[in-house]
Amino acid sequence: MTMISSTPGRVHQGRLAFRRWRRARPCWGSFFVILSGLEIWGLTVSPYRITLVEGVAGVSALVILGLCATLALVCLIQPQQHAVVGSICLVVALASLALSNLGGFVLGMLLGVHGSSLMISWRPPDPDPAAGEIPMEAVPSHHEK
Amino acid sequence: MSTSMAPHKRGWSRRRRYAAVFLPSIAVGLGWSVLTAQGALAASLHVSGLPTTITADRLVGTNFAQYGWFDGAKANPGAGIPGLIPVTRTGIENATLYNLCQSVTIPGFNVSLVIKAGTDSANPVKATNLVIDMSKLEGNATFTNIDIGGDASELSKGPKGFAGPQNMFSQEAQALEITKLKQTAYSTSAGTFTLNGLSLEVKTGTITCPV
Repeated sequence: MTMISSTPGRVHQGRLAFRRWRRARPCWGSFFVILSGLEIWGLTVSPYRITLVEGVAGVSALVILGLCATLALVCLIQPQQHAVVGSICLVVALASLALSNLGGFVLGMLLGVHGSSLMISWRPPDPDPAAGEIPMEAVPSHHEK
Repeated sequence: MSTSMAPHKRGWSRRRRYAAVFLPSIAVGLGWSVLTAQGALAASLHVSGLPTTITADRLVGTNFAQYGWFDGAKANPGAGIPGLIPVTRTGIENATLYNLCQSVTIPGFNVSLVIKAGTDSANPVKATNLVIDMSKLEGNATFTNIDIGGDASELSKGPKGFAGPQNMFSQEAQALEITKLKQTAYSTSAGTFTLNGLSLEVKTGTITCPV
């Protein structure tokens, strides 16, 4: 994994830092939410002109993609908000059934519900006592398994 | 994933809580789909990019307009201009479709999506602001008060705001009826689609309507 670099130490450190970053937030949840937005939007890609003619119905898929992408980013930047953001994603995923192609022919809706459920049920890592890290959630983290 | 390993170095998802969120949501989604299938809730459809076969026993529509257009979908070796597919863009403000069948085959996967609705003639499919880019249309058509050959930019009888580029041929009519409709479309969209008796199936193989 470090063959290509002349400074393997730095690459390795970068990987470790990315892993730490990745593990400290609901990445899979965000991934599936973005994927669902892309699926729903992908079905509707067409010349821009038509979308203007049709008004709300034509752009709703784009609005769903925008919401999914924004919320997933918020979730990555502020992992503490995972329950709030996940709940909004859940409503967006369910609303897509009425707004766009039956939620991207159901598949996009399923991906969205899966991603939001992952976000909501996500739990931050335990603080590393050796490094003197502060817990991410103020409440004791072991109240539920 | 085991909960006995402590302390946890990574965040993870609690399975029970995941199920507590996922299962009720899916139940809501299923209930919604059932209501859509019964025609109680309208869906909004907008698909494009792949050739779709649409068939119907009968289509009755009011406020119809049509003009020539090119779809910049996937390169089609049969098309005159590389990468562009000549289509007629058709707009119908209110359409009622009897025994609708719509099929798309996803290239490379050998999988077809078949949507059927309005099989019961008492509960047909209803669509508003239907816009279809079609490359082929077959059927027996009757038009009421048709104007043929106007400029596409001056269309006025179709859905609100439905008009094409200048100097493009067009036609429009107050009402139309097509029986034994069969068309190939590259893009279908509708403001609202009331899909009575909806069935949505994913099948392997190349399946083309009518089935």
